Amino acid sequence: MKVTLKHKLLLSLILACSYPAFADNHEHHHQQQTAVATPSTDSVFNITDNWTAANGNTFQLSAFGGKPTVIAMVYTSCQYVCPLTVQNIKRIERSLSAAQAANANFALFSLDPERDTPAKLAEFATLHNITNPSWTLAQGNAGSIRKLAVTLGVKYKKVDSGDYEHDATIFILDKDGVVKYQADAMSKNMNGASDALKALLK
Amino acid sequence: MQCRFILFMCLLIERSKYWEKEKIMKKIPLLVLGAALCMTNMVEAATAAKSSSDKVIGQEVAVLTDAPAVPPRITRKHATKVIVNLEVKELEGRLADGVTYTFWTFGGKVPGKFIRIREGDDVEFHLNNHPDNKMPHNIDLHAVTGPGGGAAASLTAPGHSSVFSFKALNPGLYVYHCATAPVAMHVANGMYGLILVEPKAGMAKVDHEFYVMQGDFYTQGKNGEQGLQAFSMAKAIDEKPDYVVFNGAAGALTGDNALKAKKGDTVRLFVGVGGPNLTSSFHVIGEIFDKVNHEGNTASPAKNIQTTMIPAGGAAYMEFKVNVPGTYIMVDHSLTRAFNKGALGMLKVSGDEDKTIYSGKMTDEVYLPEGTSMRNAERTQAQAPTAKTKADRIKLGESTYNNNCAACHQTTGVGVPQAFPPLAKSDYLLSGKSPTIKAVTGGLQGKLVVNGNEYNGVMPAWTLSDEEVANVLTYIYSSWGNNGDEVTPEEVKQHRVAPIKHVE
Amino acid sequence: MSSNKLKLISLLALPAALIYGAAVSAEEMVMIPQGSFTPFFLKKDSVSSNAASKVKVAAFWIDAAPVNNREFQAFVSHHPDWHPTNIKKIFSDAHYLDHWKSAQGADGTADLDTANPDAPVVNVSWFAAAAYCEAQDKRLPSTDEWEYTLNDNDRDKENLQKQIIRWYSVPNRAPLSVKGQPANGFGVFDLAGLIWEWTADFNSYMAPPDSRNSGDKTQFCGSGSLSASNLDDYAAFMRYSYRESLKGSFTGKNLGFRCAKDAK
Repeated sequence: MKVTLKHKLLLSLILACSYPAFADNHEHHHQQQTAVATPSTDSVFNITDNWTAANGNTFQLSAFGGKPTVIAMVYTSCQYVCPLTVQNIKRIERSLSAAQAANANFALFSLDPERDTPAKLAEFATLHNITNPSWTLAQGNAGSIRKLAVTLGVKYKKVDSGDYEHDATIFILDKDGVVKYQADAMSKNMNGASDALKALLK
Repeated sequence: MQCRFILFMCLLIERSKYWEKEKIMKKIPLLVLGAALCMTNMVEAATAAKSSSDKVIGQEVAVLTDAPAVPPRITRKHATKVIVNLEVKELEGRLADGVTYTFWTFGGKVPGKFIRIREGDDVEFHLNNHPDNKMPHNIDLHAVTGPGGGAAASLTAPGHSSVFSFKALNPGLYVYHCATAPVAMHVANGMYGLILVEPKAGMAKVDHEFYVMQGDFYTQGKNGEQGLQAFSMAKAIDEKPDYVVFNGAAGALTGDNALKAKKGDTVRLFVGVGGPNLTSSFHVIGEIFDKVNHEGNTASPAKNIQTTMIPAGGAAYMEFKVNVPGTYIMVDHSLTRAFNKGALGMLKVSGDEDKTIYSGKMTDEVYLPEGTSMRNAERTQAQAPTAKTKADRIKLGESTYNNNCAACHQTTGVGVPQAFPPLAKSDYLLSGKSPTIKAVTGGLQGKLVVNGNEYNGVMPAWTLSDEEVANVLTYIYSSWGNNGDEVTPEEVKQHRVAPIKHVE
Repeated sequence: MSSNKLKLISLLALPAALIYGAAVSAEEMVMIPQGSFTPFFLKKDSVSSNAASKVKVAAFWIDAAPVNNREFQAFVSHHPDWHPTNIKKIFSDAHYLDHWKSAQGADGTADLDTANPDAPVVNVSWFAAAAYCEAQDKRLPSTDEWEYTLNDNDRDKENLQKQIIRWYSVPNRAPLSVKGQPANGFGVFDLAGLIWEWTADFNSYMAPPDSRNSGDKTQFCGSGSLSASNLDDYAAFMRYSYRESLKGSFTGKNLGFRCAKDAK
């Protein structure tokens, strides 16, 4: 049963990708990609919580369906690790051709809903020169964040000062939302991640 | 390829006019010389390949053994990929007679399985945590170069498995143990074992290899208190164990479980100390270690060693040839651990006597400092129910006997030749109940003849109640062909004496 | 003043708990008044007796006993997504509700025949536990809330530790019914000696998996590394190590949960 669904997915993907309009327009609205009807049993798209992007639009994780996604959990007030994580994701992005990059999603989810409002996320994007529409910066309520972190395996804890202690990992999901690769976000070498992503873009 | 080139050049030179002119070594065709050169080249290359073969060839699943058995010597001359599957199992088992404990084990026993690999091997380690277990576990192998010795990569919840890989860079005999917090408790419950990384050149063949590992155990009840005992955190923190044993239980290497060899055999002992706390002063009574590889190093053994110190979390291996038949007692030479807490094992060597090496009058004495009085053996039973019938007495007495007397006199009552007199069909016992009661309550020392054999040792005084003495003596009188007398607490009360003073 | 309140509530809760002891219902909740306690993992430089190192816990409600098989079955029958035949791999491993006899009753409900209905439900993942609590309009307790309730204001600490270590010392057996032992000072049952329990933020502890270097910073961005406040508390080390080894989709033969709720 799963096999035929995957085939359907792949087929829809091929069809979808043949439309140039699709390739250009990457605003992540709540618009569901028709390709991802019922997520497969090990897909993170099974999480149906609502998230708010920097531009104020709400969406669910399944909106990323149809393309592989590079995803990490950070927060804007983070001094060192999070900017480094963003730089590493950009490194991965740069390793792709323009066409490849357009066919991938890059997503940052905030651990800090209280301080990271959509406006703050937009500010962060400007600060880090994130202009490519393939990127999504998002926030959600505390419960959704915990659920996403538990699903991915990210450990985090809010401490007294309002900051967060957390893991530093970059995950790569395939088009169906299944985690396929994990990289240490503190590493200088993103080759493994980049190769994994390229393999998913074939 | 090199060879072909050499031969070709030889041919060219030979054929050339230069060669004709010079008339050098015409008698030996140059080709033959070239061939010889080639051969030496090839042999050199082959030996070079043999001695520094770091190339990993093939793969195998590691053969793992339970103590005291050791996996076979490695004979391959190259590195390989070794797959190790080790399962953690929490289970209730025997710690001493009538005493059980919940052990946390690597492979179902304490100590954990013996792992034997070769320097340069790539190990793929599978740590499997049985779903029936309560606790998460991991593993730190002292042979691993890497964070936590593998512990960082292997924390595993019950019902799950972790896999990690490492290359064995250094040869040696190493300890492995669980490193999940609280580490002392995981180790105190038996989570340790040995991994041997043989040097590239291999190890010499010996007749027997044995695996022994010492550990300290901390129970809520005192040594000997019956039933399932829980771990005592307070005693562990104070480093006051109730049991110090080889291979996970008192008596694991005595009696029927003793190690065996024949006269003239060479024996190699791989000895580790899991701890969690105590260091061992390892000694084999009546033997000298021909070679000791301290701290498990493979490069430079020391020679002719009597007692070797093995630290907690450390290991050593020693080799010796057994020239004289008899029973050799392995101990932690911190003696109360040996005689009161169980750190005692045996190596039984069979064969004909060789009087030239050993005349037969082995005085195996318990070493007592000068001027002290007879050592009192600690009370071993906290609460002993009273016996109502002779049968009861025998049953209770058996337990007391096994926990106190069996260490020397053996569970079969045969004693140890030239060391501890037999109780089975013993003429000493027939001399009356009063001498036997005096012996148990007051101790004995000096020359003694039992069943025609002379003994000259020391028996400690035992701090036991009238009830306990009556029970244990009744048991002794009812066992092994003795006369079946019953000894009552009243008789004990009447004949008991205070511990006698030790006389130099 | 809060200790008086506490006494009052305990006085009320205890008899209530005893009365309802027979009717095993995790629906029954106990109000835990606000307070503070020394958490097991502290900032490295703080002294454990220092008031500033204590963690404040706001008042909250917590289930008097862990959720039992009967209650969980009622949840599963109304929420087919959480039925063993439908559960997604991302939400649970293959042993979900293994201890229930068959996964298919006539109307698709799971059959409880071989499982004691009054025993705590086990073999449930964090996602399943969270979903159950959400369905009751509750949530999972935070680790701090759970530990604070266990801590019981340090009442009878030594015996509690001994009881916990004894439970760790015994090999696994099927859990007995809930409320088999007396409640603690707050009126809460079975925080020790019955099962491990999920918490909402089980994945927040900073102790690295190789807990010997608990002083080292392995996580980032926070206010500094943490270390244990009481190195002699082996029982606590084991609880935190256990949580450390878990992932959200894991199930365990003796891992269950209870729910909590914010106080209004």
